[in-house]
Amino acid sequence: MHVCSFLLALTVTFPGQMEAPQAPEVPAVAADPAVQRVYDALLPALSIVRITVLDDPEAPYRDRAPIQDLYDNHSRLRLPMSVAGVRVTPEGTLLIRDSGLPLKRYGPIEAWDASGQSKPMKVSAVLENHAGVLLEPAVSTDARLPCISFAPAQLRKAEPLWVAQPAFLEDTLALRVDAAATAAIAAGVKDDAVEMVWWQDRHAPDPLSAVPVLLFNGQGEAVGMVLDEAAWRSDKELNSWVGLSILEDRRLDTAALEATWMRLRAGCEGSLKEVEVFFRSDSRAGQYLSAGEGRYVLYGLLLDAGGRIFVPTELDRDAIRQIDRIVVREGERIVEAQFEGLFRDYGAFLIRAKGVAGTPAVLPASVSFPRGRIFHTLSVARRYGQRQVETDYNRYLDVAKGYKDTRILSPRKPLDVGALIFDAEGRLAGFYAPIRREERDEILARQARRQQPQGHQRRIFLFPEIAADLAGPKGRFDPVARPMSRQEEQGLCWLGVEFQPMTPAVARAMNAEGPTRNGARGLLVTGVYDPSPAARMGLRRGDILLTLTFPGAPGEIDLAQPPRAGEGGRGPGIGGYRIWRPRRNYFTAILTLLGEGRPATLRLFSGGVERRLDFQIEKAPQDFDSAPQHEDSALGLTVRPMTYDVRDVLRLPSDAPGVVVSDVVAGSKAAVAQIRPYEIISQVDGRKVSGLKDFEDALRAAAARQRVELLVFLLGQSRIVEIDLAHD
Amino acid sequence: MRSFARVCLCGWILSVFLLAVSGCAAQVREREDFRDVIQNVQKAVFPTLVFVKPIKQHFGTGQLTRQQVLGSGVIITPDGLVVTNSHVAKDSVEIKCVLYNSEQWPAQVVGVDADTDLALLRLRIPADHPPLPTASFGDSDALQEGQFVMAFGSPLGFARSISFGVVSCTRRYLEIGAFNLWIQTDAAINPGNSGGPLVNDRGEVIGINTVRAAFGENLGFAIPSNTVRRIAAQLQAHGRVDRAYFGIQLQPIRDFIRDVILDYDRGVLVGGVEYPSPAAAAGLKAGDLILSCNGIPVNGIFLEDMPSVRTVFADQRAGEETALLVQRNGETITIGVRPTEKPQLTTEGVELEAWNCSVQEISKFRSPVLSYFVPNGVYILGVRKGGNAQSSGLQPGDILLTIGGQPVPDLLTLQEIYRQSTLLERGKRTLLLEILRGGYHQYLALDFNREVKRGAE
Repeated sequence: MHVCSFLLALTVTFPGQMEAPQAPEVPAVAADPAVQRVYDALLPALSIVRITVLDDPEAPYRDRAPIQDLYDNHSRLRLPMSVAGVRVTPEGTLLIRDSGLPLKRYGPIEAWDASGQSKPMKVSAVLENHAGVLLEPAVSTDARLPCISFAPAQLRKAEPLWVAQPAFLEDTLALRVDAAATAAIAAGVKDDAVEMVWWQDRHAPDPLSAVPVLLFNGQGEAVGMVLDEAAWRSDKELNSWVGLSILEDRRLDTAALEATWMRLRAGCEGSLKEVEVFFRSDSRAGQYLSAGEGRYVLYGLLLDAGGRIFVPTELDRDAIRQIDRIVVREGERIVEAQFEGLFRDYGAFLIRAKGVAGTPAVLPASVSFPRGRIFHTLSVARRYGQRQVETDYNRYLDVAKGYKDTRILSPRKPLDVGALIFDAEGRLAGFYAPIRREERDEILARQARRQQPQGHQRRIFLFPEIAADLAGPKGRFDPVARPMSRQEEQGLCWLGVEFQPMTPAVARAMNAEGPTRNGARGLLVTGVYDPSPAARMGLRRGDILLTLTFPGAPGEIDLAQPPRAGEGGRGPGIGGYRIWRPRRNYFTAILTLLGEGRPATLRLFSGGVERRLDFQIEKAPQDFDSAPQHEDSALGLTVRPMTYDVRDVLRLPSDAPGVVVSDVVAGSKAAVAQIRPYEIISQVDGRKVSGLKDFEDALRAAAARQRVELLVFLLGQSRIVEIDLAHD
Repeated sequence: MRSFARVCLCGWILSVFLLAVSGCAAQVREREDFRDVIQNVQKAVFPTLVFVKPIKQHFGTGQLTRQQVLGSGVIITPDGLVVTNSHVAKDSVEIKCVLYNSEQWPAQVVGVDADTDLALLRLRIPADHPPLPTASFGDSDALQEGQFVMAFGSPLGFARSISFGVVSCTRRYLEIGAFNLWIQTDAAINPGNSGGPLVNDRGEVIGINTVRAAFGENLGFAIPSNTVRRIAAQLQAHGRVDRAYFGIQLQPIRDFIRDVILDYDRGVLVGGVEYPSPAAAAGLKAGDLILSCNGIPVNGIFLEDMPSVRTVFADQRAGEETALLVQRNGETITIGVRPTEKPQLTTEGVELEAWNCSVQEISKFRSPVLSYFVPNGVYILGVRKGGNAQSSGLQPGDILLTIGGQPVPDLLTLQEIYRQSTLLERGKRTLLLEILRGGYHQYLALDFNREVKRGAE
């Protein structure tokens, strides 16, 4: 006899304990014959299945999804996963929920039935239209075993339903039979799907088995098996729970799956191209993104003979602007590519690489992608120096209506951005990418005083959805997301003010508690650049900018910069310390996002009175961070022109000569002469230099003489520096 | 006659012989009795040594703070004039001096010169006190490297101590000494030695110990006695040292530290001209080479030449036209500059008790960076920890521009505004301050409703 014996205990709970939207009056149930029929029908066909989860050796190196932690716990602790299985054929085939465990991680499987006997099982097939996996006995026998039989599911509103859920208590199986709130049948969902939404049992030890298993009608006949979080049925004969349709569903055995996947890989060979992105050397994205692999590699689909490649990506607008170069790698061959555009609404961009070899992908004009049906995915990544292709099957769950009225299709199993989606027959259907909503999200995030917008939500996009974009992409691109030089990327729009965030104490001292909501919002103007739009509009030190609006805004946006920790600042010293602040701040970032030429309205509090200012956003003149620079390798220093922000803080007149040192190479001649960054070179060889060109010309003349004399000054102190340019 | 002549001749021969003998004996004495030399020196110098104990008053912590400081000094006149360092004696409210014979006398400051770090004190001895032993100055220009020297003083408060070493360098240039060079010695100089004498083997004071290098060992620096003599005389006569201010940033022609080496063989380079200043008004420019000042040739070839060159300029009479012979672009021109008087900076700051901070007037001679932004104004000198000013966000170095909308051009205005603010009733004591910090304006709300009394830091 098997050591592990179990008993079926029958417990019945009253409806009042469940979280149903409307709990109807259900009669006392102890004597209900239906419950007894449920018990009699289910017990022989029920099995506990224990699946040993195998390790995934590559798990530590992948992006983590929470469900993987669950699997890894099982494999690491050698704790088999327990699921409820129902026998569906007399030969002993068991149907279990498809929990999303990859097929290759199914280890040895044991199933116990009511007799207390355990049998080894193996995965035989996956259902095409329901989230179920079929297990068959590892050793086939001739025994005829009792299996479940389903009655047709004709549900009407207010019809009582029973739900039978196995509960695992160590080695004991308890069957819990509840009366399902029939009022949970909700009709009238937009696409005519009849939805029943089940709740997860929070007390179950393993969330994978938390869903009720079987549905019985009022007569105690089994009508369905809930294989998913949402039990739904549409009028197109698709459903997630109807018992009869589960039994009749097409079965895809593991060999068939593998064959499909081989076909997919082969099919993609010609059209999947490896794209490598290089970022500007001074860029933040470059340091961050390329750090791991040393390269930033994406995979895209070749669209036509002209070399157009469609690349789904996670790169956001900021990163795209910092791209320096894009190439397509074909083995050893490199083909240069031109960036065409980043799509506005989703994370994908187009490039053109003339001369690239391959077969263009055939994009479907229409795709049948019904809910509940299996689909296949293929994702390529560059790992450990090699291209690795992964294929898997997946299903999706229709979650919600999303942004721009789209249906958010989220896959049940986690996917990588850039994964290609194929329908059940293996035809290319779509791709997986983030939804881009940077522009509005950033402004809204600032409004809500969050430091950063949340990570972009991802969904499956089907090619027919974006067919129009691919045909005529120009209008669909994000106009500000393209590779740029540093100057252009750092270029700003401005009003021309320096400000400090409002605080309750200052608001009180300025009698501005009302308009600033006790100091919670408001930017206090501490300086106005002249000339500037702000100067023209008469803004003055002491004005408080309260809100900003623009056509298309969700309302007035409160201007409130979250206070930054450590904002105190040291006093200015002589040399080596940058006195001027960056011009990119909370306010200029919003104006730059809105863009040049956009009309906007400011509400401000000035002189005790609130007033409105309508204006058009203007481009800012170059500032220190966006100014071009000139590098002199003989001296070992880099200079930038004296921009308005430097001039203003140093109290220099607008015609003051000089170029600002932005960088000094350690050990260079300039470093030995103790020229430090942020000092100003105002004369070269006795002649004033008023810009980069003057500086370049003067140094060229000096190179001929092999000596140069510079006048270096900062904050009222100056000195003469003589440098010998002869090579040592 | 013959006998007289014989006596004379014998006497003469004898005296020559004796001189010779004495000469030889003297040499022998120096070699054999070096220990005696030291004994003689300490016997001569110790009675002139003073243990100087001033109580200083300062406002750096935002509130009035009194602090006991220990230093040394040396008596130079029988009626009680004592030379010490300016950083020992300035800002003091009370000075007690302890002599070698354990007499303790109070002292008052006669004069202070911060630029050379020298001060002159007068011991308040009663009229019938016997004359005090005095030290004599030697010639610091005749010093040679390697000569033995002794430093007398009170290192770390251990009064009446001697340390012994050699002259490591006779003409040392330090950035902190604009108007003098320094004698470097490896005799131990410690905090407390400041103001004490550096003495040669003849017992003459050849320097006043002032500074030691923060890192490194046996690197002490003393002000040469020739400088001390000159400055002490001026302090005794006028109670201060008058210097002329031109506003020129001078640069040596060969600066080996910055590796800036130009071709000229005389004159001194103008590295920059302060603005506004007498030199700027006269049209002097960076890059000019000044050959002479009022007829006196100035040669600033090396860094070590700079103090004497600067002294030439500083010694000119303020308000009088000074002719500078200047070489510019190959031409030699004369530029007349009318220097102003370099102000004596004596105010230590003003405490604003109710606000728990201390303020100071901006002067380009004291805080050049602040005066660049605001030539005339007031800045926060210190902020009391945990006081009202600190909680309101004020920091040392902030320049007060306006208070409650009123501009603050000088200390008097600020004091008046402060006085008015203390008349506000409790509960309404907030002021809107506009300050300049790091070059940028900022608004702060100063809330001084709390009363935070003076206390421990």
